[in-house]
Amino acid sequence: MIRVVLRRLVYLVLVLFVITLLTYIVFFVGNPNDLAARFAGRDAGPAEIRDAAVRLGLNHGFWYQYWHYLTGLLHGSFGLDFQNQVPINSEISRAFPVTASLVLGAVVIWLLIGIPIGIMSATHPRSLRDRAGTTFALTFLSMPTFVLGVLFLLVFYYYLTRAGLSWFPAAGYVGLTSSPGQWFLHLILPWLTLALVQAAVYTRLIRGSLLDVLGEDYIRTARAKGLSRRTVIYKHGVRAALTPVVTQLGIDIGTLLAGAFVTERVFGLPGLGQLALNAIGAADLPVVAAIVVLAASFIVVMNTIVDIVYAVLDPRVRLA
Amino acid sequence: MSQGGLIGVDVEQERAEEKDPELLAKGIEQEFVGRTPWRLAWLRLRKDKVAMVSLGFIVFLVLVAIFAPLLTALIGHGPNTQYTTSGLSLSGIPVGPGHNGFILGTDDQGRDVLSRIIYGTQISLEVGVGATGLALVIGTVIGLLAGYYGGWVDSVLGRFMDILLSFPILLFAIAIVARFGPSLELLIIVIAMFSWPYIGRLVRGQVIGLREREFVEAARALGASDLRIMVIEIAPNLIALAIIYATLLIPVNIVLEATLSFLGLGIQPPTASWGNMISEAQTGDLYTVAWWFLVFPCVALVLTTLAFNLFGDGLRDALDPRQGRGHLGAKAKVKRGARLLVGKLDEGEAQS
Amino acid sequence: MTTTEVDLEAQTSKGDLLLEVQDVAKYFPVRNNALFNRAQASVKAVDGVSLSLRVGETLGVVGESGCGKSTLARLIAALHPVTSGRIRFKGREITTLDRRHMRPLRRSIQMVFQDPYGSLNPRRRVGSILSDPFAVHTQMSRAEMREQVRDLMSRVGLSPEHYNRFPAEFSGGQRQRIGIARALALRPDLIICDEPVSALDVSIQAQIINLLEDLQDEFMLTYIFIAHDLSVVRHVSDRIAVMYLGKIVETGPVEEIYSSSRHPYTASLLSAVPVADRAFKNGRKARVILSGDVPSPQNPPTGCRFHPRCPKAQAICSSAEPPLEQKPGDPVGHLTACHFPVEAGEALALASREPTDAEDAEAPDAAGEQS
Repeated sequence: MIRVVLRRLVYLVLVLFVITLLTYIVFFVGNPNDLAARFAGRDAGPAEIRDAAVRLGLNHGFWYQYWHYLTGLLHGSFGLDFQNQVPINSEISRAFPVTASLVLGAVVIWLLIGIPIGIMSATHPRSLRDRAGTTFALTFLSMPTFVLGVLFLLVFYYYLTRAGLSWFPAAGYVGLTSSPGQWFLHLILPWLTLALVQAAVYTRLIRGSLLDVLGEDYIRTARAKGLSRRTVIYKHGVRAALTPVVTQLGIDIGTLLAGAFVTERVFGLPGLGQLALNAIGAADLPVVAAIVVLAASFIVVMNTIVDIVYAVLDPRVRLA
Repeated sequence: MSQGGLIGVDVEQERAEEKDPELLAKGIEQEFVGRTPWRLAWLRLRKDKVAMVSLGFIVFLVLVAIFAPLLTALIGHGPNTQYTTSGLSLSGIPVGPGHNGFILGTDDQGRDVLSRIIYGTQISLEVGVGATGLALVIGTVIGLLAGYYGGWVDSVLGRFMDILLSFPILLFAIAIVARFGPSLELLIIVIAMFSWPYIGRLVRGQVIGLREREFVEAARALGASDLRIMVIEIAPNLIALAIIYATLLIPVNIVLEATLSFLGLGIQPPTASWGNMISEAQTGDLYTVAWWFLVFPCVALVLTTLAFNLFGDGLRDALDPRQGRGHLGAKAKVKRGARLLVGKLDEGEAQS
Repeated sequence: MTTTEVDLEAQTSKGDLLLEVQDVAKYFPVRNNALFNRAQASVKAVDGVSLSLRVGETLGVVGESGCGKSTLARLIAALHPVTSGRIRFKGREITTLDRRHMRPLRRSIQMVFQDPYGSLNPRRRVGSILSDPFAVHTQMSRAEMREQVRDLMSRVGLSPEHYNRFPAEFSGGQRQRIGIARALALRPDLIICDEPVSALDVSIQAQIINLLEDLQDEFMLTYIFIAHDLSVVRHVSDRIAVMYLGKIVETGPVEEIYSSSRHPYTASLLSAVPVADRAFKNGRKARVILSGDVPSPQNPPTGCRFHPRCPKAQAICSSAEPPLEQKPGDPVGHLTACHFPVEAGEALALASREPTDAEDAEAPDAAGEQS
């Protein structure tokens, strides 16, 4: 167990090293004075650009800057952003709760929708219910998140409001601590947007994996022993079928925690995704690098958690 | 992956194995009329109505893309022309579907929505097919090398794919496009860069199974070189897999292009792409009264993705009958943030 | 030979020594995933095997599955490197050759595989599969190759019109003919047949064996014929080697082995052969039924590897490994590795239970291959 975690940590360091390097390379390829000029202000002369370069640390060589960044990371600091010279750590700690609220709420919804439909489809293959489940899944699978979000806004905000039913607020975010009710209302549409597409993925995932499991010999043996169909499906089948779901869940949570770009953009939620999009638009390198680092860390950490959960779900898997 | 898995290798299960008892009694092997694997797959596919309808729609899309200039000329409205008098009402509201000769109405700048959708088809297919093709080539070559040689080659290439897959893909794609300025070519390259590892992992798993097969051993006994074995013995067995996953990757890449365009980082206006049409529609408020110029591009995008997904599904059933029933999970693998899952499953299988 | 290449090897004539295998071993490392604690375990698939083969001869290699006979075949075909020992082909050491130098030799050693489904690439047409040997080893034009392949197909009893078919369009027996044609293409000296008929219907086995025999006469081929089934081997072989857990326990001329086997393991294998002829059956020795399973080759028993299952085992059998040697009264070439070889007329079965008549009646009659 400890070895798994250690190995993952080594892997994390390797990944972080490679991707921060790539981030830096992407931004530094071409003219290194570009960046300084962008932040020197309007109509900046050569002197102002030089000042900006010094202020942002751009006057040093590529490797020096990269090294400087890495040592900062080791001390837990992402540094200052280019635009406003604000500590990135505080920007992130402001944005993260938004993204976390969005993602974790959506996870609950998509599991609550996806898993039951998937189980229903798999236990009644080729039935009307299965077809309905499959249709649901394929429809939302083919629905890009932003399309769903935009259509939700159109129907559930504009049309409802015009009909005199202003149930849902337009956009924006209210903190859980300031008003739990508003927090909930503001997040319903974003949650559904994110969750419905994901629920489709999970429906298919669990249907496929449960069908496979139910075809196994040991399930037939359990039935032959005289166990009821219910017991066999829920105690033996579903448990084994959850393995791929856990993997996918780890990946999805890890990826989304670093920013649900599209959903945040559509609903104007000031989360990490928005922060990243703005930073990219402004060529604010340290902020982009910070979010890239966060994203990769989330993914690797979630993978480690998945490995551990595996061992609990499936005793055959040894944490070697 | 265990023995082969995908791939029509298992088509032989379907050989018509009826033998004439009389001939058998004489000890004579009966002439045995079989069909080629591809022909069998096509026969199976043809029975799948949903897949055939999807295929029809895909062919239709391709034709629309190819004949876009002709079609828009027939309609009589260019994709970027602003019909400020016939296309907008006096108060500046877009004209609805079917009015003034605008079959799907106009957008907030008085442009013909249908013409723009037709040109958007071109972009979507170019990016979707182009990026997928590129990803297919890179993924197949790398997966083939990793799977065939194993050992340290596999370790290095496998790790490389893992790391690429641990990337926050969308974020990185956005960063690259933002840095170098959006263009069609860059879009294709960036999307391919991040989608090839899916193919790479699948091919690798497949090759590991194929490598142990007796026909590879037979080729080795013959003295065939590694290159010859990879190209002549193994690669033909990857074609089915490649076709299936390419079909499933195309809609993913089309959505990726639309998403990037929606975020303002893909195809730049005024060139029409479904993504930027939706984005442009959403930036104003006019779409709340004139739904059509938001909804129709959405419909085009969803129908296209759906068609590719359904066809890919049918194709998998046809080319790989054994995996037939439980196949729904595999779609999800490629569909969304898929990636590691594929590898995870491989490892899991190797362990148990 | 119609090839333009000069044959590098010396011409051989019947009776010359073709192959010498000396004390060859193959250990497969067992993969150990642990990062630390790298105690390397290994499976001793082949553990010190020696044999020799003369031109035109057929050596039958027999043993239960897992005894290492297929690995031995692959060592001789140079598909795996040996762990230790030497293999000489036409007097030339081949175990130390690198890939490049091995290539020209490969055309002289060919293999027919067990699984007629697995050994043909399902995605390639038969004509293309059969032109492989020519494509790899000669500079023939496409037309020449096509001619050769058609000739080959008719020689092994396939219709040349089926040139463009896929393997799936043939029956098991026809596929095995394709496998034989591929092995035959370059007119090799040695063909290793790895259980070539065990995957086939009984009615078809005889046809394939007859084909192999006809080809042997026609092209002066030397065979190593591997089988788990003594009855098939008896029909085709000149000499037989019986393997158990990676070692040869008894070897000798075919009739010698069948009439007076000395090793208890051979005796038990022989008694398991079903017999069709009632007259012969009555005079036959009682069946010897072995107890237990084949031990793991990862951790073979000490001393004589057969001792845990041997009805005659005594204390020495578990401590000292018996050498493979000629036993008193046996002709030259009949070697046995046993401390207590079976004597003529000895009732081995006494050591185990007697079979009942009912069991005998149930034994499947395999008529096809007994001639």
